Amino acid sequence: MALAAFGQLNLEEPPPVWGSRSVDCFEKLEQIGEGTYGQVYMAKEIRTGEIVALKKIRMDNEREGFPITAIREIKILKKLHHENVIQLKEIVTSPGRDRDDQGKPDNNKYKGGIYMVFEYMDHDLTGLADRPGLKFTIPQIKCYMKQLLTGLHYCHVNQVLHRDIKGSNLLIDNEGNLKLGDFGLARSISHDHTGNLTNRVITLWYRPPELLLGATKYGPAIDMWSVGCIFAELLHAKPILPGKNEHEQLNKIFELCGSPDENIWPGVSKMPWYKNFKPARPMKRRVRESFRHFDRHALELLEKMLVLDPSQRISAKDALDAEYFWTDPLPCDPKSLPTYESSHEFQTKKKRQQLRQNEEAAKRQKLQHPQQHHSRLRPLQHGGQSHAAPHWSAGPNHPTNNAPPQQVQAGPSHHFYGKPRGPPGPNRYPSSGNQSRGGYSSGSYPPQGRGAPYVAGPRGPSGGAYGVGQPNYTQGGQYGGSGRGQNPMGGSRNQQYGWQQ
Amino acid sequence: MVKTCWYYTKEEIEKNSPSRLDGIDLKQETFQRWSYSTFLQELGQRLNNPQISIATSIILCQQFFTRQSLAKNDPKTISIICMFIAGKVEGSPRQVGDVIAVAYRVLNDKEPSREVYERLKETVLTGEKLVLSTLGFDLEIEHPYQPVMDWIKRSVKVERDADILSQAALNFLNDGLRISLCLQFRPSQIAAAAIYLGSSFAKVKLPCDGDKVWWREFDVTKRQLWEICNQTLDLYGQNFLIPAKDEQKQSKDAETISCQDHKRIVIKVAGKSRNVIKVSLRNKLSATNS
Repeated sequence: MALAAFGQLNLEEPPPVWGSRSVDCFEKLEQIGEGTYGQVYMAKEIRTGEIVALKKIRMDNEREGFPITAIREIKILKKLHHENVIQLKEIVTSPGRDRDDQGKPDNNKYKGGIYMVFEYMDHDLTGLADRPGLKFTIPQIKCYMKQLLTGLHYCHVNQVLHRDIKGSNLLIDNEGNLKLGDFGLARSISHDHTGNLTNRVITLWYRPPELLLGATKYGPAIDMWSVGCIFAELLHAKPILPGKNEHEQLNKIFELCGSPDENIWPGVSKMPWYKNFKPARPMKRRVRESFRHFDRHALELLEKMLVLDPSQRISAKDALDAEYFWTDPLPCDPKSLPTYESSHEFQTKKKRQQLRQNEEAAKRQKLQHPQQHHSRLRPLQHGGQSHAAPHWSAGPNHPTNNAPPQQVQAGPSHHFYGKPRGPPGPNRYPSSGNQSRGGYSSGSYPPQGRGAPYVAGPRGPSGGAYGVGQPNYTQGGQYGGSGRGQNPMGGSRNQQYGWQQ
Repeated sequence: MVKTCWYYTKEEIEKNSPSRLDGIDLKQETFQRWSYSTFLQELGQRLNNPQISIATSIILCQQFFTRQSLAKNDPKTISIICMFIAGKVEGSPRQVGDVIAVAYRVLNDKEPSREVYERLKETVLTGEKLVLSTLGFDLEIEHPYQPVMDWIKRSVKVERDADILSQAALNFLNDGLRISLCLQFRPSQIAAAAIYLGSSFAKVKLPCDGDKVWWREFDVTKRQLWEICNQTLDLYGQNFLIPAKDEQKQSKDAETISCQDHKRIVIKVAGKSRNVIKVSLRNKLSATNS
């Protein structure tokens, strides 16, 4: 057989057996997510019956083909194998004739979509924490924190920075396992520390001071700040630093942790944006005071996490050795944790529609609804008892639930799979206002988007695939060898490669 | 996700490739591998891509053709796609339009017409999925460059020796991309061979630490070292005659691809005295002789 003609590609045959499988191996059960990143489905593998999450990689807006962010995410996920890190099971492609793709049907095998197949997780931490009436116990918080730190330590050892640690990216299954999800902003920092990294990462509320001050060289400590924020949030039952913009965020940090100076953070005055954000008057650190209701060991650990100077911030490894995890009440076994009914989009959607109808009916009757206070319940402080179901009031979707319908706000717990990025998302706490949309579906529902404002995040809709986050790229051939700059063979033609027109 | 094994024996590569099953003979496939690798090196340099990204594109391309046939996939188009993907994989992306325009210029020495450009772009964007899918999205490509540099930095204390050796070793690595080494050997093994070849060529003595052979840390056996060196050196003996049809270019085409500068060097590999091999090392000479 002759060589293929110019431009000829083997697009008709299905991918060879070793290549990616077809999405037809899965039966889509329901859509559980929708974001700028793409749609997410809960699906069943037909052969095995296994339930998975299919995350469609959105390609329609990509003039540059397969998104570089997805490539980076795939590379990183393929490298990481740990019980506390979400497992990318495989990548499947859909044939051209795809139900979700508009446009004319096409028999071309490679016109269709590409999906990442993940193990299915029932919840995310924020979704769980937001369930009305739900309290985390101390052993449960310790259990989650321990898993979070274990997973993160594994990432850091493997030179991966997660760069978007927040509750909605911490996935929890019904066996109590917590896994880090959404590596869409993650970055490998292997052997080129010299490179500049973007500081436009991490959701604002969880973003560390060094990024807010413009650092472009940073390390694992950035994730540890986020962990500190989550830790405090779990104990405090609400986000501790809910800034609306970067300036306010930094102010909130300074109000809590004190304003930095050369003594407590050597080098801070040389940070790029230090002068712009320098507070007018010095502020005192108030962590201990603000969280005096925390137990001693928790406070001790939190103090080490919420350290302004990243070089003095505790590492994931050291945090795991903290007294907190080794004193009574000890972290519980994940398997002992209660299971919660997972809240899928279609369930909550129906319930919300029902709720809205009820509300409208109520309004028509001029009944004043009480302000919906949705702050979480603080954890039970007593330890050492059984942590099984009786401690938990059922979630809103539970059949036995008697909660008034207007409390149904625990949205779908699937933010990780596909959440909106880009413009500041809606706030999960009613007091901060409900802007635009969130979650996965169109946004006419009560607050459901758990993403804190994502100011000018690198994945905002305006940012092109190449706009940000390529800072490690070194121009020029470091390994170029000598004399390679010129074409040694003379003219630049097909001939030179032995190819004829 | 289960990682696929991308390594094959020489025999598997030579006898069972998809191209061979489609009736394309070994010589043709070897020649095509040489052609697209050379083309990608040139294309990458014109695009000002880092060498890592160029090397990745070549390896992706070679891996692609372990699973797909040259009879059904035009290697030029596949190379262009691999360059486009490698840019994204290595964090030095180039816009699809630039890759296409430069590639067309390299291949044809002229600008593509609007129509040709658009068609090529469409082909590249569609083909990107074909390549990614064929590769099973295995995009983490390791290279021998860093191990070579690290080892030399650690082991060769005389600065001038280190420079000459690095240069020679890197040249062997870059040239070695044109054959199927990356499908047979791990990067660290290739690194060891490049250091060996480099030291023989640059006449830099490698440190000897008693009984401990210097290549132990590269996890390579003597036999493998010998095999890699042999295959690399064979590269310089290959005479790829450019098939010439165009009368006007006859004179240039008549040249063989192995180059003008031939140098005879004796290379002792793994203690055995290997034949005196004709090695054409082109521009390397200037770097290593200076």
